Amino acid sequence: MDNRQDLRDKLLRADGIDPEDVSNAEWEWFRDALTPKELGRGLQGSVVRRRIARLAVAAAILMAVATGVYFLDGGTSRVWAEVLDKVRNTKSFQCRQTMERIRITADGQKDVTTTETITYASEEYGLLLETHLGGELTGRTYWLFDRNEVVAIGYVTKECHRQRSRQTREDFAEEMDPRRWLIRALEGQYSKLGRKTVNGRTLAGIESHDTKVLSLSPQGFDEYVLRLWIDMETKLPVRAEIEYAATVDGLTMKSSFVADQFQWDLELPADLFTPHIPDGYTVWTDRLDEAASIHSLRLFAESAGGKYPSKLDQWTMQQEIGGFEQAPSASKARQMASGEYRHDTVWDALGFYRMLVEDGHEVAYYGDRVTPADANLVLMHWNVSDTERRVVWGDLRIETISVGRLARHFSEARQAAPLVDLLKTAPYETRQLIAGYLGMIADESAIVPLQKYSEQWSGPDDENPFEKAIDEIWRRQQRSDSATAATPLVKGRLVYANGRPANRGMIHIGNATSWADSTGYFAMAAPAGDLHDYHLCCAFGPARHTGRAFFWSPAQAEKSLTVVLDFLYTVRGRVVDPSGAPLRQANVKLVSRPEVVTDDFWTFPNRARIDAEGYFVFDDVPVGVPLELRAEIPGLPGSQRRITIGELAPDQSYDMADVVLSSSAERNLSQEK
Amino acid sequence: MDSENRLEGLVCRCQHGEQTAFEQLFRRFQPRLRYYVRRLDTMGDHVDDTLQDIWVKVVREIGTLKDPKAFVAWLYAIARHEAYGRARIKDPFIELTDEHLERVPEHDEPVFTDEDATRIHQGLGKLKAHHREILTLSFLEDFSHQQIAEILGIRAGTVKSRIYYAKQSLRKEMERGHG
Repeated sequence: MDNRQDLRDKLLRADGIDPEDVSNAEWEWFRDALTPKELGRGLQGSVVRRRIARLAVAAAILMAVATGVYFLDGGTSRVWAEVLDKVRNTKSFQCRQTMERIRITADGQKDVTTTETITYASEEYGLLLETHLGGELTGRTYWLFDRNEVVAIGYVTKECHRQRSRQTREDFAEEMDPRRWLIRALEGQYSKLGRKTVNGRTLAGIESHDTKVLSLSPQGFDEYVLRLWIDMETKLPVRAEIEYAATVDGLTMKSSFVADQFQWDLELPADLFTPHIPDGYTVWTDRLDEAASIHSLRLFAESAGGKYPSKLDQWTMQQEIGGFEQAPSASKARQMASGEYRHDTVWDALGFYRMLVEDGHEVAYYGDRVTPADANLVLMHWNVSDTERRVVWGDLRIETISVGRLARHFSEARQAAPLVDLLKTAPYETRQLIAGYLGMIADESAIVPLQKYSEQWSGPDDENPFEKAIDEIWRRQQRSDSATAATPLVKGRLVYANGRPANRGMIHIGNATSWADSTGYFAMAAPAGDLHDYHLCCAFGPARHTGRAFFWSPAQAEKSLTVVLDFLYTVRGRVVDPSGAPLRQANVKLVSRPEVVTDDFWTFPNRARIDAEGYFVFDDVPVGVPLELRAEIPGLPGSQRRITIGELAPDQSYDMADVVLSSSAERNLSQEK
Repeated sequence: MDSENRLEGLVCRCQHGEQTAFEQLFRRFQPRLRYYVRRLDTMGDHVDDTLQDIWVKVVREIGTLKDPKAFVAWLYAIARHEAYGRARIKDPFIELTDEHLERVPEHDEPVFTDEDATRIHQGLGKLKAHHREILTLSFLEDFSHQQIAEILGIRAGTVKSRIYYAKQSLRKEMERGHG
């Protein structure tokens, strides 16, 4: 390894850091700061639909935000760490949340609703929320992480809702865990409320008008205030208050929210977290299945003018169905085989699709080109085994067919893009078949994927089915499109594989030639010819010692072209004294000769270590740069030597003749090759 | 070269949200980032928090990085920004003018090898902040002067002379520490 890495590793070790390894705790500390979405799972947890659940989340958030108070209240990081540590080590808690909502209508009528919720949270069992309205228990909601389920029982409506929760304990912690909210709280704006004594206890508080702390949209709030108090002795939150007012469609809503009566680390029995559903209650579920997805697509098409979502993502679907408000109304109740009921909504297709993606089913979806009228086109498919795929047709029929049959279908329907998708996921044997189909129907968009598999072909060259398909595409396209005008300009950039511009590199396209400027950019007239006429092109570094050949057609002229040149050379040599003995104490460095050099070329490692035998190695030396080796014995005037190496030829090592240094040697500026 | 390609691939995978790639990237760069951040925040109060913030920012913004090859310099630029922002350390480069623009005598530039690592490490701690930072960057990574200039927000021409003077100072500190 190079000198720099050795030095780096040793510097790190001198500072007590292991350069090779990072502890799992360290990785987890970082990972904990991320939301599941940021972690690449790409999915939000299930939507918190029921109000009662939302309240619980809000309460937990308040509790969590409160833990950030002391830090902002002028405390030191030591005290902050203590609060954080305490909350982090909390295994259970209980609190009361009171919410009052006042609705004032345009004609001045007041409508007041008060809800009281007791929250029980246990790291071991889950979360339970008991809602009281007017002193009466109206509902219980259970978040059961081990069962991946949320169960909400409504005692007034005599209904029970079972929701599959995609949230794990960790996901849930994202919303509930004080540590995450602490981080968010730190980004907010606060003012201090100072300290006060309540029942002999000293509390510290802050006040915030920053809606970001609760992830609320700042629009739509006429007033918003959050106040948080923690106990200075226990370093734990004791009270949180939120007040806000908003005007929607001429209606003013005022809400106040208080979380208090916190109890930390109390014993909560397991039975408390076991849902008991009384007999005769209607059970609703949102369990996702294939049928739900099909119903969902049908609902969507009915609500969106006879079209499926062009893409299965929330934004696209909202746009296409005419806004978010439309979506909830597009919902139908259905009794499932289990006897439970569910509401099919337009979003189920999205949920099902995400589930397939998450579970690695290589799902493909073509709603952008398939409508309910296209009974014989494939709308969606995913793998059920290596050789079989589940297929949803345009008329929402669903069946399992072999990959080969699906490929044949796409080729008969002359659908190249789905075939390319299938090429990427099909088993090896089927890829050859798909290549044949692509050759018959596809355009140049299939060439890059075909090339990828062509390189992996291990049979005889003249039987390479991927090459044959590419040839077929070119041949066919040269025959057609014969009278298309040439495009005026090709623009692009020449760079080395390390990202540096290939300053003054040369590029040939057809019979046209151009040179890159100092930043690697070039522009040139495109050769005249057919739009799909592929030209063999090449590009070189400034010294012509590294080059790359590629194909280009005028059809690509609108796209900027980036050509990447190799960047990999090694210079080796040995430093000796006139008697041939190794000179370990010498310094050697490789520089680019000043007349050509800009700072841009200083990237290559220009110092090498000399081993006990006097040998040195410079790795990753760039092409196209005239090089000079400089050697000296430190402290011996007159020992310096400069040796011109020149520009290097590609893909090889450069072994220098021995570099002879002596104290009496005259400064040697002669050039060697 | 190979490792450069692998890094680029890793960055691309991160841009597509692959968690295992993030973990690899994290494990690869965390040790040297820690070294760098410790050199900036000499009190060491906020190093863990700063590192965490750096990585959160990397995860959130890696999609905006146009050229994966620019990742390393981008990473250090973020690290620097987070470190100075959080600890409210004064950026040592803000008030410096380009005071040393004379031509640097190249043959006289001190050479530091890994044999001296412990003394280099100790010497760094005694340097002025702007010298310490620029040398730390040049020891940790294969940066070009242009890249260092971008990270520090100074002119490329200044980098070369500043590294030269920083190295002279370091050599003096090492000799003092030794003798």
